[in-house]
Amino acid sequence: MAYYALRRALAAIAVLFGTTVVVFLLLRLIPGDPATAVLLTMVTPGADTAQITRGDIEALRAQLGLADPFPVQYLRWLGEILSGNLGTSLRSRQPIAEELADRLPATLELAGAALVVMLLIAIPSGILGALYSGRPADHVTRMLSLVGDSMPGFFLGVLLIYLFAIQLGWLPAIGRSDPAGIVMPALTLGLGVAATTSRLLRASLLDTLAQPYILMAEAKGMPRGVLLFRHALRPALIPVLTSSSLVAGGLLGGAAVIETVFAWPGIGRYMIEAIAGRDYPVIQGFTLAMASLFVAINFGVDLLYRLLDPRIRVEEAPRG
Amino acid sequence: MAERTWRRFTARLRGDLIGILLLSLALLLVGMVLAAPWVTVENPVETNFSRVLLPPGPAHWLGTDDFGRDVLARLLHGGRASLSIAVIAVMIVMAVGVTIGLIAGFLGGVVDLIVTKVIDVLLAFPRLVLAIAVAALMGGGILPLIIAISIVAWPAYARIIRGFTLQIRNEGYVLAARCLGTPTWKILLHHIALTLIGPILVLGLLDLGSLILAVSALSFLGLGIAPPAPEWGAMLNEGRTSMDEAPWLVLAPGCAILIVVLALNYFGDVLRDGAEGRPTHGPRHWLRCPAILRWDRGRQAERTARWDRMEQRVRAAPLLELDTVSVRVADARSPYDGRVILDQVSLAIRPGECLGLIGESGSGKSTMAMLALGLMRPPLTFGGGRVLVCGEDTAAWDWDDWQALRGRFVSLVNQDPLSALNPVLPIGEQIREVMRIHRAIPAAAQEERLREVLADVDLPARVIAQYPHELSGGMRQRVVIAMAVANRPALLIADEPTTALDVTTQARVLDLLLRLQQRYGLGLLFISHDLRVVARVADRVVVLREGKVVEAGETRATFGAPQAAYTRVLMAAVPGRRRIATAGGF
Amino acid sequence: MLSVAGVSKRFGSRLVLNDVSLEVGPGEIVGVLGMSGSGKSTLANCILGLNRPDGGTISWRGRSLAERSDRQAARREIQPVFQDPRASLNPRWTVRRSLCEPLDNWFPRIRGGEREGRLRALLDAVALTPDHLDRNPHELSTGQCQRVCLARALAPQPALLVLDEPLSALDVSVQATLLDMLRNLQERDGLAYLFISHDIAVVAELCQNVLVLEHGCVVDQGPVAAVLGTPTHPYTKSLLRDSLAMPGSAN
Repeated sequence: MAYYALRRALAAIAVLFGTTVVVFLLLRLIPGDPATAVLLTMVTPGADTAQITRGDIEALRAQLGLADPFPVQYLRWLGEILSGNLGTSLRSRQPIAEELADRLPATLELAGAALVVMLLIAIPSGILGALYSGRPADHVTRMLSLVGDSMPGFFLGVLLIYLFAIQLGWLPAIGRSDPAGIVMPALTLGLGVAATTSRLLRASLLDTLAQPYILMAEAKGMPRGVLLFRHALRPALIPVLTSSSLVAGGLLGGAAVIETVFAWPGIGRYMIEAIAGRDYPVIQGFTLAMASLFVAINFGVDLLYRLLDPRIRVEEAPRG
Repeated sequence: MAERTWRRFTARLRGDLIGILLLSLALLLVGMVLAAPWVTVENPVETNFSRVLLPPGPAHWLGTDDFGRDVLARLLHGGRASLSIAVIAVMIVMAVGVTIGLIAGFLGGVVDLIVTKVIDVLLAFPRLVLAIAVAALMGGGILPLIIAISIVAWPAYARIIRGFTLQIRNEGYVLAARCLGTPTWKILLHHIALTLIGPILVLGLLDLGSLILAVSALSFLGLGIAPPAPEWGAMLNEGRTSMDEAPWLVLAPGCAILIVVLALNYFGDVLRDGAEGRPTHGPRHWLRCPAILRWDRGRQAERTARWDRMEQRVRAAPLLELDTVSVRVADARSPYDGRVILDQVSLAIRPGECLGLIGESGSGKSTMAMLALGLMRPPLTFGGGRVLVCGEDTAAWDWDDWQALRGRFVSLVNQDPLSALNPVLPIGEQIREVMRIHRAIPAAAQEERLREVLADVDLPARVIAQYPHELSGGMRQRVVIAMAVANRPALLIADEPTTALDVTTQARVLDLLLRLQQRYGLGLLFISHDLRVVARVADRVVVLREGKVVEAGETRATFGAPQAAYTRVLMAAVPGRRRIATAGGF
Repeated sequence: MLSVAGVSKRFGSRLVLNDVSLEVGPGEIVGVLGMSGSGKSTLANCILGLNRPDGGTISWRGRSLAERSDRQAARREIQPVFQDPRASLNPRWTVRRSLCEPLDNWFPRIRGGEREGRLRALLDAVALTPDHLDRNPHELSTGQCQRVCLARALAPQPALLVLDEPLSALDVSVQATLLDMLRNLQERDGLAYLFISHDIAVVAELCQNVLVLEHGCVVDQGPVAAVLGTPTHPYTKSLLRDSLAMPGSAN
């Protein structure tokens, strides 16, 4: 187990380095000279662009380290990242790492609550769908999960606000100040990923129930509960866990959208505000932070995977 | 192939009301979007403050927005942007993903290594996060949107195609094609790409839905087409501010996205089921809730009484008796509907005797095993006759009646030890649970009994903590046997117990079965297609052909002077008959 | 004709084949007897060019198969039949298309009536009728599928068939039919077989020479009558002891 964990950790670190390269290259996507672009956005609209001096541009280029060749820029940037410095926000002039750290708990809280919502919905409905496959109960859960899969998260969020905040007044429409404020965002985010998981669990449980070892367990005289929960559910969860990076990605990526809808003060909303203000270092820092978080989650899932499936050997990567 | 898929698709659709409704709604919407300039004369971008926020009515079917623009016109014109961006992105993603996946999967080696590493890194970003970052840094607009979405979507695609390719590359027919001298490009095209075309199209269809969602999410965040040009996600965002007085501003674009994506997902699902030809599993009615909740005190008492009666009779009455039993397939959808599996079969197994059942595939011999355990499932149904277990008629028994006997009175050893054990439970647990559930052995004695049965089947005590994959095939079959005899049953059903094993292992397992039969006084129903195996273990044999008993009798007498022609055919077919006599070793 | 000299193959840290040598002459039937994990399928794959051996040489009519140009020529003359006949046929292809694949690869100039005639002859050789041509594999029994595989292997007019457990997936009576078919084909066309099996009785009945594989090593080798009739090696003896006798001659 320790050896397996070490191997997976090394792989995760290698992937993490890959992500830093991608994030670094991302900044090169900015059309034109990034420094000029950044400067232009900092002057108020209508201001005389002639006020921007050559010196301003040079200073900014130096600040962003854009004068050096790429590999040098990358290594210097990597050094900064590794020492925990994600740069400074162009608008607030605060260190990005601190700003992200301030907002991260709100996002994690939302993602955690959404995960709970997802599990509460996906597992029972997946089991129900498999046990009653081809029956009305299956058709209903399947249709609901299809709708859940097809519903844009922001649309669902807006609908919920309209219904429960505007029309009924039961829940606060936006913000994190009221504890009840988490209900709607968590529900919106959780429902979206629940649909996928539920369908996966249904299919996987159906496959497992058709396995010879389930027949063998039945021939051993196992009662229903033992058959379902002990013999079938655990192996059935393995493929579901394999797709959990999809779920984690959905939760993290969806957070940016859902936080905007509900004005939830997390890092997703911080990112969207940064986009509006063309605060490129923040976009870069956010992307890297999200990728790191995602890689860390996937690493945790790998370990869980190993616990759930004793067949996994060290050489095998679970996904793929 | 395409024809068959299409036929399945239409067959599925017929009688599927929701499907037809969804399909026509989505087609209507897409049709109107394509024909937008002809459907509506309103200008989607022109502001007119004399008609701000009008509710839906005859003049404006979907009302107007806060700039006085007709919502229907914006919806239809906006749809062109949303849908065309998604369609273009899907085509790019499919082209890139399929090409890279195929090449990486088939070539393997360094190419594959590099491709998988790049894919790993790109998949290390949450999809939407990377798309947002790319679109944001490129400054928004149609082209950045397409690029952002394509960059994010191709890796998952390539990975799936690569997996498919790897799998097919090792299929027997691809190996054979290589030996047959088929050139590599032809194998890639004919055997692999054309095999994959179904899955690829379905994936594309399903992906189109998720890409439409991604496009609208990015537009919602203001990263799409610059206003005032309409787009569904952006319309929804604009409508949010005046939602309380004009909910139609949000509902119209939201429902449009939902309908299109839902239709795509729904039919993607239907097509996938059709293409994969997923076997329709037998109904698992025994696992369903009403049955789980039913707990009948009276039946429980009856079961106890029955068990007592059987205990008294177990030395005298036949353990299992089939009296002119017929079984047939009853499933109108199955091509085998009405086919007779067992035809008036009568046989009996007496305590302590080994009955050998000989039959080739399709003879109904495995149905016999299921019959003896009460595990016969639809589409198989009784066509008549009686099955008696220890003198008790089983006609009225339900799943729970049988459950009380399985593993305790009658147990099973089946063909494939590789798949008969649960892969995620330790061996010890799988043996313990048989004793724990049936309480035939006092709780205090169970640990001791566990060691005893392991010793019985010549397994070391260390296997208790091991998992099935850590054992060889022969050892696994011993575990299955240990499970079967743990509760000292009266009857053991062995369905091809040695077919999957090597000669050496087979001999050991047969010896073991015989030894256990003697020690526990087991009645043994030994089912096999191999005459040599049956001849070695059985006291009496029954030869089964196409559901009928063609011959029955003492083993030695039957093989010494076979009566039925079929038995003679089987005996003549046994390999080695001619040469071994001359080789003389036996 | 086929000469395998000192071939070794390892997968990861496991040595699957260790210094295996054998010869197959024209019209000769050589049996390879081994239990699961003995490396017998790997040996077949090495000879067929599906795996590359790590050491030793495999040569065909005196030319090493490591040479690309010689390999192409040898490919036509060495054809395989695998264990699982259903997996060996493309499930989407009709029998006709499967059989035409080798014909078009090796004899692209044969078209129309002549090709049709060839198809008939191939079907005839394996006792199938022309109306099987337009069926898909799932419409055939396992035994029929294996016969299609055999016909497909005969299409390039090979000199050697590598038969990797060709009977294991089949019923006893079907096995017997196929065994007779193989024997007749060998007599008719003078084919050579490398017959790989775990079943001693089948090997004893069909083969002239046999080699016994254990954990990738050849432990016993020689004419069938000698190796299996008067066994000397302990492993061969144990195999013979464990294999089951015919009913009737038992006890």
